[in-house]
Amino acid sequence: MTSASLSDLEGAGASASGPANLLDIRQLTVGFPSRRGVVLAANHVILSLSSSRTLGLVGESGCGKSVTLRSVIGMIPKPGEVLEGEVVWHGRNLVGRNGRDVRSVRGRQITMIFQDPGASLNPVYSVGDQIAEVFRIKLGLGKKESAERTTELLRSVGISSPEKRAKDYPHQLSGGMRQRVMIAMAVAPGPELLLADEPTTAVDVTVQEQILSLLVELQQSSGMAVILVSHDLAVIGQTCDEIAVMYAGYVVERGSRDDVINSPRHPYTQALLAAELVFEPGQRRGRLDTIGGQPPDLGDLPPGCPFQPRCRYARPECAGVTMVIDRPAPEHGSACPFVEAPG
Amino acid sequence: MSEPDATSPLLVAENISKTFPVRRSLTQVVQRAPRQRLTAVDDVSLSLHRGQVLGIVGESGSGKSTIAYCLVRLLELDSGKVLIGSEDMHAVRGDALRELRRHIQLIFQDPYSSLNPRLTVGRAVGEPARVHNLVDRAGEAALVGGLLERCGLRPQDAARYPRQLSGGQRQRVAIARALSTSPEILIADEAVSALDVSVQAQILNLLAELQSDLGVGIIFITHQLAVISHLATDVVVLYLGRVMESGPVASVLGESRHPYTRGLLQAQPALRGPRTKQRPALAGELPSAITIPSGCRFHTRCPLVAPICREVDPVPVEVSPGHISRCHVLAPADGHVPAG
Repeated sequence: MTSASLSDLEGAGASASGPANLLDIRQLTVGFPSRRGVVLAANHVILSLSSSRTLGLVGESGCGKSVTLRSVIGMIPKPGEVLEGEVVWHGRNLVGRNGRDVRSVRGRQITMIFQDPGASLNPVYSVGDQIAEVFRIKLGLGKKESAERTTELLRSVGISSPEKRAKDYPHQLSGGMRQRVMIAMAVAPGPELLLADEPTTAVDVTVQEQILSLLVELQQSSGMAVILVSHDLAVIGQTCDEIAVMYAGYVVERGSRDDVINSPRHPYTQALLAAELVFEPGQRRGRLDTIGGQPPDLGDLPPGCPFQPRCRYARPECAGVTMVIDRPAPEHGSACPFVEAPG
Repeated sequence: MSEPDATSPLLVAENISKTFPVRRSLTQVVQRAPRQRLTAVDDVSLSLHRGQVLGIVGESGSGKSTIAYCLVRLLELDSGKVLIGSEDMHAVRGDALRELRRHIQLIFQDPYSSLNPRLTVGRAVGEPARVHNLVDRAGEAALVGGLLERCGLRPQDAARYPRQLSGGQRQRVAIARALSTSPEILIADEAVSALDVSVQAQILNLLAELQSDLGVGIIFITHQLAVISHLATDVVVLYLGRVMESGPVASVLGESRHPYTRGLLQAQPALRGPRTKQRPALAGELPSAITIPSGCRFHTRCPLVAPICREVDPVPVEVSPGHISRCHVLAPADGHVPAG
């Protein structure tokens, strides 16, 4: 079924899109086989991004945010696969393309940074060599120029004495430094889109702040677009122009940062914001608002809206909800037809 | 615990220090390089009273977890003592030690690795009480059922295995297990850090309930200041094994008198704050705990650093009732704070 539907969609991608968007994710559905049948990690996800914008994908573990991000560059972990939908980059559908085609985009026009820089850097090459490799392979530069550009780049991501640090191996660097090196590698080819998957989850709050400011600074100076995935609403709120909230594989709400954070429309976003620990020194708040119940089991979702077992506004009609965002981008859209923003 | 006085502290740690030997490479051994030690906890004192929630906060590598392990004597101290009631945790042995351990229980960060996958929830929760001979077989079942309900689970969950539970449910099991010996003191080591936001709030509420309903004292170790500001009554800010600032939460977090605490406060991501900040509040990362900087150990990253900071280790100064800071600039020993 998979290959057939992929080739059908191939042609449709190029014609239907306007030139405005850098990236269009259309009806993206990613499935993982399991004992209970195919589990949908991303379910008819629709997202778009124009150049120089920062989109935040937020949600709890298992909501499909990382899978959605990885599908952009065809890096869904096996045995998962795209069952339906397309990822349109500059008007071309990337889904189902062969390796060489994807490689011309991946690692050059679109690059990615990961949660754990320790596991993403090669331990047997110096960090300088690893960055220089990007210049040589992706941009075809010579050895000497690659080394020079590497030093320059290390300096621009805030690494002092870059000539010396370039000779270091990953294990000789601290977690924050490694994350900077990974960011340097990712921005080396001058990408139009940077994908960041929980880039600050493994580091301390002080280093997190440094890494986020670096990302924002690089984004603003180079004009690249960024998709940032995080479970932390505050990280997303501090960094992004637009926010998409995911739950159980669905995008449940999408809009500008201010709209989503200040007047959330979907009950899940409302509950998530209420449960967020807002730092208020000297005011012990006692009880926090919580989202009752358990996180969703993707293999056993109720019909209709997946959030209904935990939703305080749940009603019988929820079982018939189709989980479609009600307003077109860039308007502030929600997948809940019953609840509106409070106030 | 044979302490009749209600106002005396449940737990007192006096000047505790802990270092670890650093492994030398073969070349270093051949070259007769000196043996080095890593200072994890350096002369830390703290106390916990009934019904109090003491937050310990600091970056990774600041010694937070080592303190927890020293308090329950999973690690031996280099110097100092830990008093539970009036008895020294590190001086007793055998049955006396076991009796003391009944009063102090630890909850770990990762509920996936801290529960034995081959024990049912009921066995895991009842085990500490059984080991301490607090219950018989019939009593154990009743105890487990009560503890599970107390922690927001159903009594019938006792028959399930950890793999059948979500992360939040597992952490509830870990808390129920810690409660099974009716301890006066709970130590939670990053107990909510591995959980999703919605579940995190549930667990924090549970801990707050335990504190108010059962009157247990809680030591809560975290890197999240927001958690401290919600849950804790008192806070200790650690940097490279040393207490930099401590006292009531309102005072320490609201009117901090230490540049490190201020830096941590500014580094908190702000949901509704400005999109881009000028520059990070604290540059750099925690220095190595093997070669601790001279003078004030924070001087390498401090935005307010003065010449004296590189030479002299600042002494603790009480800047307001119970609020103690170690800083030449913001808490000078003569009590004079420069304006601004």
